[in-house]
Amino acid sequence: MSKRDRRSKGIYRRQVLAGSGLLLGAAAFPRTSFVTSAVAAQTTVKFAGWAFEPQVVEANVKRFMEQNPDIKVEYTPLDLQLYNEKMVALFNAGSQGDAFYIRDTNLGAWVEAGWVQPIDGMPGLKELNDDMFPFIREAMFYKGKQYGTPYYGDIYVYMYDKKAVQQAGVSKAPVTLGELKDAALEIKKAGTVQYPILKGFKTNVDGLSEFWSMVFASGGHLFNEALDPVYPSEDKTALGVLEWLVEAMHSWKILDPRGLELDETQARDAFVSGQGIFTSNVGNVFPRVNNPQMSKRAGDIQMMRFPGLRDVGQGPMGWSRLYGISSDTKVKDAAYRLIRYLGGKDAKGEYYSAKDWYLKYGVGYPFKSLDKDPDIQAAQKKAGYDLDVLSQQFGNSHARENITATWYNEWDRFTQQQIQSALLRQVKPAEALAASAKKAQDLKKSGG
Amino acid sequence: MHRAYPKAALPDSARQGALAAPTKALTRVGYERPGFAFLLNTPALVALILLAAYPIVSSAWMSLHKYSLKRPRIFEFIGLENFRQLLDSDEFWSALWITLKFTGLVVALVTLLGLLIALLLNRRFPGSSLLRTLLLIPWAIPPVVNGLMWQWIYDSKVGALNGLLVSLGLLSDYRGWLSDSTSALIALVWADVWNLVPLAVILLLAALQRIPDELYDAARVDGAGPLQMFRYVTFPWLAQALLIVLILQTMAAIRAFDVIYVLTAGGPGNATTTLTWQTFLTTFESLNFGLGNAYAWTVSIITLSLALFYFRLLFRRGEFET
Amino acid sequence: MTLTATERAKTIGRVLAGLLVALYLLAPFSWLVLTSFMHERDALSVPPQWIPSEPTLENYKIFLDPTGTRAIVGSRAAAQMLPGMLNSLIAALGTALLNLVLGTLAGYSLARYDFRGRTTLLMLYLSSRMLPGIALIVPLYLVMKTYGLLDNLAALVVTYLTFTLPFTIWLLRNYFQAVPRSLEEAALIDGCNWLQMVAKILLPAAAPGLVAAGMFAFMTAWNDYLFAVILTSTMAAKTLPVVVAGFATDVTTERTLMASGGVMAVIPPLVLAFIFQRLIVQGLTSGATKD
Repeated sequence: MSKRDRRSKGIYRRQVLAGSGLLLGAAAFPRTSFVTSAVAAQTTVKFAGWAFEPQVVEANVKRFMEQNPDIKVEYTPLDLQLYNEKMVALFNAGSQGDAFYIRDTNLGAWVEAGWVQPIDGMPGLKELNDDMFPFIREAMFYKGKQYGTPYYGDIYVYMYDKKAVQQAGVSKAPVTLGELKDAALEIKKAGTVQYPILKGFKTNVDGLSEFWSMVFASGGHLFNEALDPVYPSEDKTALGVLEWLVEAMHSWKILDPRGLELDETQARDAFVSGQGIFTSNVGNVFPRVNNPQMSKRAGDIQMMRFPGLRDVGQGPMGWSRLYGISSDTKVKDAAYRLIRYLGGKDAKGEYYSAKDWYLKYGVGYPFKSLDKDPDIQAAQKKAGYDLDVLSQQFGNSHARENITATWYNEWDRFTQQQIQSALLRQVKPAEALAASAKKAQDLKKSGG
Repeated sequence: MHRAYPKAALPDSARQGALAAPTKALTRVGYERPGFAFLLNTPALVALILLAAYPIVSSAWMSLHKYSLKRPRIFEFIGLENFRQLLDSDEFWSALWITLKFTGLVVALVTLLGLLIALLLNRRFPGSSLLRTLLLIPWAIPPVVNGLMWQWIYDSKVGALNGLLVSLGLLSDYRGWLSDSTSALIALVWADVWNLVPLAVILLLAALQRIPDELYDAARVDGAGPLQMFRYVTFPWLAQALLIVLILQTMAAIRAFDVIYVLTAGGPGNATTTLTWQTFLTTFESLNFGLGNAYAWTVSIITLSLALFYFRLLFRRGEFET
Repeated sequence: MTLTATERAKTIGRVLAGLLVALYLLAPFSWLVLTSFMHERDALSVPPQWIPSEPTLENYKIFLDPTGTRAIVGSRAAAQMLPGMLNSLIAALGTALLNLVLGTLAGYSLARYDFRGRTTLLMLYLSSRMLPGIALIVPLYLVMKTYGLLDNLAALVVTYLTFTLPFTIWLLRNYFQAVPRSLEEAALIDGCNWLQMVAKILLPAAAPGLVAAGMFAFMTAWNDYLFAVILTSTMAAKTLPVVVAGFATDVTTERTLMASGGVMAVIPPLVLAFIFQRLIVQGLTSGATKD
């Protein structure tokens, strides 16, 4: 009798218990006196995540414990900067706790290392899955099994200063890279800025986001289903995009070469402080640049459809972060209830946590039905979104095609370096991409 | 008689003590008892064995295995295969070359600047004790903060360096110091040197202060010029401290992590991807612990060879007995 | 007459050189200080504001009152600043103290005894420090878990001890060698035992070396980021560099807070240096009167 069999039987029994616990918790919620009387039978769940606004997580966890008095959650915020490195050390020593945050870029590697366990068939999961944006649902799965609930999901956003664009006599927001070039050249001609497009290219976690987005928006691909690279020859989109970037920087001089030393955050700070007319960044930057407390150009910034080589109605790249459960946990059901609460619905059936994050920090929500939430709509209107563009972009965005590969991070970083080299004109775009594709093949062959 | 500490230069009382000391005193000091010498080393050795031995041995052991955390069940002894793979890769040679450039520049600059500042501070002049205190400032800034500070200074958009040079008319337009391969490496070196110089100064200054004034007086009487005094008096006394400075700074530079992590992340392209950065990527980005530890051991072997080289160059020169 | 003229010329030369050195040391740091008195939006202005147009103390006040006037993303990190500083101070002082005790014992033996294997021992100490820290993280974490020291300042102290001790031993050996043996022998003849001799003769005579070695150990511990991140997770042991790095998060970088954090990082070592500078002088004079 294998360990796994025993475990799955246990899981079944505990699922029933968990279901009833959920009901009990819901019933108990208004009666605070129940909270204290239930302390005796508590299960402890150890929960860890990178320390982005830990006080929000703490308040949320406290609320979960009030709704689920049979569970005690011990939450530890870990440092954001070296989260992956630290978790590797924790896993290796077996002190990773029961539930934790996972970056989609790490999921494949962590599953293959045996650190995370699937949660397929757990109660209430299907209901959540059905409401997730497709690119987010996709990111919860690895090799056909589901490993988490979404902490958040967001898309990459292209935005521009509409005042500056109008002043330069450009009437319509560009949609394709060709139109973007024309608009940028007009603005350059008007003499207000030297380089209308600002983009950070410094090596960074997820630093390939714009590249992926331009490829997706052009209707192109980097990898096929078998995770073999289709660029640079079979599908020429990637090459077209990189050639456009290099020309934009060096021939047309519309893309700021100093972007090579800025990472996403620095590029954002520069944009917020008034530099550049066009930029791309993570979704939560948009409400930030339109927030007068944080930005000198609040109200002037609008988002546009992510530009591609041609207009095929496609959106940018989207990504997500997950809540997952350790393979070694002894309290899977309690841990699942926690991640179902944080990455789904609370005892009252509301997406409390996702909505809280969005309203407080603009952290992208993973569920389609929140689009219709009046509070969220009000916040989006206040942030100045063009709601048509927003929903078009969200609805047509894609998870990165090889995101589940165990070698994703190595390939991502290597490709960023190649793109930098192409932008420095040390290698030709075709050579840079050929090297990146070869790296992907090598990594796949060696099993990552 | 030893070279560096001519007996004539000893303080009178010390000389008398030495002359008056009978062999009985030597017995009481116990210089000939190796057992006591080992005893004195025991606490240090125990501490190092308890804490450092396991990580070091474990790292060596992993470097001889096929071991990736993505396939944690496979732990297969493959001898020196990881090292062969490493020596075959372009990444290694590129990182080695960048490491040598970076280390060479940092060590040379730190030692030179450190020596000059130490020689200056060894003299008394108005403000010299204030300067000694100021010296601690760069050292007291943690490298991760130092990296951030320099990042803002070099920033191509809002940076102080650009602002200063443009307002002084030395530069017509803001430059991206970190977006060019060559200037990025130099900028990184400069930031690291600023952080490391004080340690070199402190060590060299402490050595300079040990030199008995009598030696300079004697040399002056013999008609020695400043250069000769440095060559025959200062340098032999400085050799051991210099040895330590060279070894420490070489190690610090070869293994620099925080400042690269913050300032350039190995870029642009791979312009600042040193062996240590490559070790980091291989171990934590790729989770390939076998190859990562092979990288780490290659770094160690290079560091140790350099240390031995300095050792041969300087150890005997500075060796003296009192 | 001519002698005083050259003396004066020399002094002027030294003062000028000293000014140059001060400029080199202070220019980058002063940018950090200036930034720490700015509002976030001014820190990003072009051209840079050399004098903050509206100087503010908010970036320092927030450490005392994290939920106060300046609402920021990352107020948690601000609340951790002072406890983090205290942790850093304890870890650094502990490291320095242990280093000096163990280093004195080993350093003395290596300075004075000509025993078989002395050079080997010296090289052994040195070679224990050759691996890059990055390779030690995972096994070291296991070691600390075994000893039950995770998230404990003691883990940091002993980790930094292994990093610094080899050099402390080398340094102290070097300084002890310069203390005349005759001084020791005289003390022993006077009836001191070995420990008394070390305390009364050896250590005062090697005071500059002790201070240099202690500062080296202190600063190494004070400056470490990598191991502090990995080995600690709560305020039980989190140190200042980890807290300051926490001002840069996924969605924001609080430059002005990082700047004031950086300035704060410099203060305790400077205060200590000031205290110890007196001790150095005392140490030197007491060593001299003993002669």
